Amino acid sequence: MSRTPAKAPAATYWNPILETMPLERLREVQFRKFRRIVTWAYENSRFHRAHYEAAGFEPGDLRSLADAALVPKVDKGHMRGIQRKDPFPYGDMLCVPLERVTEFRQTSGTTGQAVYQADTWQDWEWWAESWSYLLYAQGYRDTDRVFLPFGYNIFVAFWAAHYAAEKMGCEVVPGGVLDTEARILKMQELQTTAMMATPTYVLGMAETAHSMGIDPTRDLAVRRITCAGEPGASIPATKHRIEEAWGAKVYDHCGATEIGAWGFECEDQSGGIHVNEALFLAQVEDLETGELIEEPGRRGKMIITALDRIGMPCVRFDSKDVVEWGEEPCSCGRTFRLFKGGVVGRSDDITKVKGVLLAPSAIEEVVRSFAQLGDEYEVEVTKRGDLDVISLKVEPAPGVDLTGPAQDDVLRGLKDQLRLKTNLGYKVEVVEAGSLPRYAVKAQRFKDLRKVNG
Amino acid sequence: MSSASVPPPGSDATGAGDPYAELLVELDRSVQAIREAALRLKKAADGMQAVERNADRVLASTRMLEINVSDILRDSDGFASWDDHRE
Repeated sequence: MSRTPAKAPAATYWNPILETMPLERLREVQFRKFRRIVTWAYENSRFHRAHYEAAGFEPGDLRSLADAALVPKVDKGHMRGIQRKDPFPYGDMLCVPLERVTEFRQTSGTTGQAVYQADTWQDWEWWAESWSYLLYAQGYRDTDRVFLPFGYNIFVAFWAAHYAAEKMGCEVVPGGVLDTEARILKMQELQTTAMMATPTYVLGMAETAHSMGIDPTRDLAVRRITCAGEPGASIPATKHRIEEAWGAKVYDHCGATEIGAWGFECEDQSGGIHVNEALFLAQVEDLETGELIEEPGRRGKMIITALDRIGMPCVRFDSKDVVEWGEEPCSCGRTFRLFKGGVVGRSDDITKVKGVLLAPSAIEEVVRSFAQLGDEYEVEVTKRGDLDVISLKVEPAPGVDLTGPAQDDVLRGLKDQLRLKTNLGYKVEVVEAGSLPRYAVKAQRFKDLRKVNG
Repeated sequence: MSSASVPPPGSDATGAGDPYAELLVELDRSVQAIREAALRLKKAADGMQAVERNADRVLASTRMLEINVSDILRDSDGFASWDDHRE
């Protein structure tokens, strides 16, 4: 690589050419690739052809990136509507012969019926490639011994991370069917240097380690943690808790089964996540008007295209992720744009309470900023007559006595901060340590019971 | 899409010509040579699975090289790694 320009060392970027490409040229590459995947979907999938024809669109209408908005969006509802039909079980969104499909995964079904996802081996290589961009940006190198404490099952989770870490030369330790205690012991035995899991699980592991008499900051060698699956690693208070508990740097990553590994926090951690614009085209739409948002400071939902995924293409997918463009380019030198604060919520999670829009992540940020409180909390929204009531249960942190005046102080501070951050009042209760539910993978701490209760 | 004109600090995207142009062309030449060799290998295998399937894997990996190198230089009319008719 002696002819690689000196200012963009290959040691800093997975692909210095694409990651530092001038924006104008990057957009040109993105447009060519966007037009190609749209044409591929139109020519090879009955679903896409019918979907586009119904909207009066054909790939020849694409003359510049500004025309991307002409392409009709796809959402999970479309995918649910066609699956279990021919070609079974994926339906006619499939763009390749069934015999080219080598991977089956499905979504976790958090927001409804699980969605099936087919990938060819080429797509699976692409998954690992997109993970390689992000792991390299987070400092993973061939000297790392990486522990993967997840279930290796039908959910995509960290599967591609495993393949990417291998590709990068890391030593990968699969923590598959081990329970949490066995995983911690194995990490201690092997002195693993990095790991990847959901923020909920990473915090739970630290708690379990302490109950075993193991202090992760002292007894384990993990210095780098990649979190995904939940927004926690981009919520400053949660990130801080994980870093304190593990004595490690914590990085966020965003992705989805239907999309791929599209976003990552880099080592410079300048307050946002990069969109991997070499492999994805992300657009942000106003939540109410659908107008495209180009400027920083306005939240909208992300519509995203995976530019190189061919088995079941992801073209203009309505991710429901709420994001906003960051203001400044990142100091890391990547020209890939940033979403400030990562994914700040989901358009189907953000709910109106007492007429005010509430994002559950805002409550987490407040609760976890109180050192006297534990990691777990639970929020329930109910209706009393015509009034919405928000109940919040919190636990004391391990070893903290939250009774009497100490409890009054915390409750007062908590209510003040919650009102400040969310413009809403809460009924707050401190419950016994360890009494709230613990979650193994993705947490469900926010429960809107207004519809359930009629 | 937004198009900020000022490259970020530390970037090589100075706008003063493409510092990677020569490198890209040379890398692409090698990538295409691998692809052509893998396609020839697959065709010559005459159904022998041990060769065909491994050639398919090489082609899928070669596609990743195309994503990182060749696609920057030009468009192609398709992108399935096993398609020997695409440009």
